[in-house]
Amino acid sequence: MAESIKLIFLSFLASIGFGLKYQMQRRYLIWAGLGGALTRLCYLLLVQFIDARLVYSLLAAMFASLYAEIMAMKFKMPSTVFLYPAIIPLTPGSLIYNTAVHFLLQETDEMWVYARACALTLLGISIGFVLISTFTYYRRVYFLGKDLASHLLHHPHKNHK
Amino acid sequence: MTDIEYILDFAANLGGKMLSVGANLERVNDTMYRICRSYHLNSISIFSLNSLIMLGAKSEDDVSGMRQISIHSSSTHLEKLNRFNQLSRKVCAQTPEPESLAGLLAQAEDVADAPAGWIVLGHLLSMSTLCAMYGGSFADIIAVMINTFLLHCLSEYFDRRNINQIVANTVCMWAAGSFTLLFVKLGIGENFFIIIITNSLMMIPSISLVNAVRNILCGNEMNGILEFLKVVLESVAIVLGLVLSIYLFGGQMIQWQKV
Repeated sequence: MAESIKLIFLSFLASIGFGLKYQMQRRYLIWAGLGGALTRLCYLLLVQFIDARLVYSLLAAMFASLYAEIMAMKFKMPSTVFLYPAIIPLTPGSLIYNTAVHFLLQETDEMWVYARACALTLLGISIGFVLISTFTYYRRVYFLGKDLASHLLHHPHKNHK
Repeated sequence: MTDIEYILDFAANLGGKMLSVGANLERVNDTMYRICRSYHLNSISIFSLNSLIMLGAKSEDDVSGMRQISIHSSSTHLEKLNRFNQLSRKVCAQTPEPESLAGLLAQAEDVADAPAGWIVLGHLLSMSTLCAMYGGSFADIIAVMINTFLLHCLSEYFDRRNINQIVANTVCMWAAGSFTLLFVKLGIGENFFIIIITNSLMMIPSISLVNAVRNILCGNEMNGILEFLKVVLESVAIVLGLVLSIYLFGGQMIQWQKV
């Protein structure tokens, strides 16, 4: 339990650090940190109940993406601003590193173990993002009409040459 | 210049600038499409990669136009991305005179970079917390922070000189690996591999890799595959730099471990 709380707190700080690194406005840093901490919490909970790496990565990424979309709507900003710091706890940096190490050492069996884990994580994260962005796309289509730009054309348009 | 030329110039340049500060390709394509639609352009055709945008369209009076621009990647800048996003919303909603679009883009781009100290602080905070997550001791965290500062300075130097990222990654990790060996010998750090894995996370383009897979799933396969290959080569370059440092300074003393 104490270890989990420590990890969540460290994820909060790490996401704030990445927010600073990516030159986010300072008043949103706390939200970036919160995104990282909540994503880590979600990830830790999912790992307790689900064995399949693909599934828990997917669900955690869906959570991070949903958080970013909600923050984007709240602050009228692109979701990417909140998504990048929030997914830091999910990115498989050490898996990529270990895959590359075993590739260079020609330890094929170990390399494939890490490569498989890395591929499943990446696939899960990407599918999670795509699912949420598809959901938000259709939500916009539902409220704004089939053509995403159509609502903008209701504005009086000037006659251009 | 005709109106369609101003509009295409603006849409392509805005798309290029958004890509260079960290937007994903699907978002950029959507933005360019919306801008063209809001000015009643039709037959809109977009082909884009992270390094190139081709945009073509036809106006209501059947004048066709096309723009092709190359994109030079820079570091992720979320505040600039936010400004560009606000500008695209404003342009789509208000459709200002096409002649004024270039000026609006220049205004949106005019964002002061965060002070270098803040960016360094961001690097130090993120890397030291990642080191703690991997179970690093206080001494390891100190070593990671020194290495992070060194890597930041080296990366800035290579960026300014437009050095190829693969070469830059190899040299950076060679330097980081060599310094880590020295730190461990001097007792500043304790666990070589926790320090080096943490520092490699600063160089590994994890977000680019996630975006690459996302591109493949979203129908931008060509960009996804190119980005994926780029990330793989950059990651191998990172490990290559580390291997060089160990062979040059570490001999057989260091055993490969997984973390």
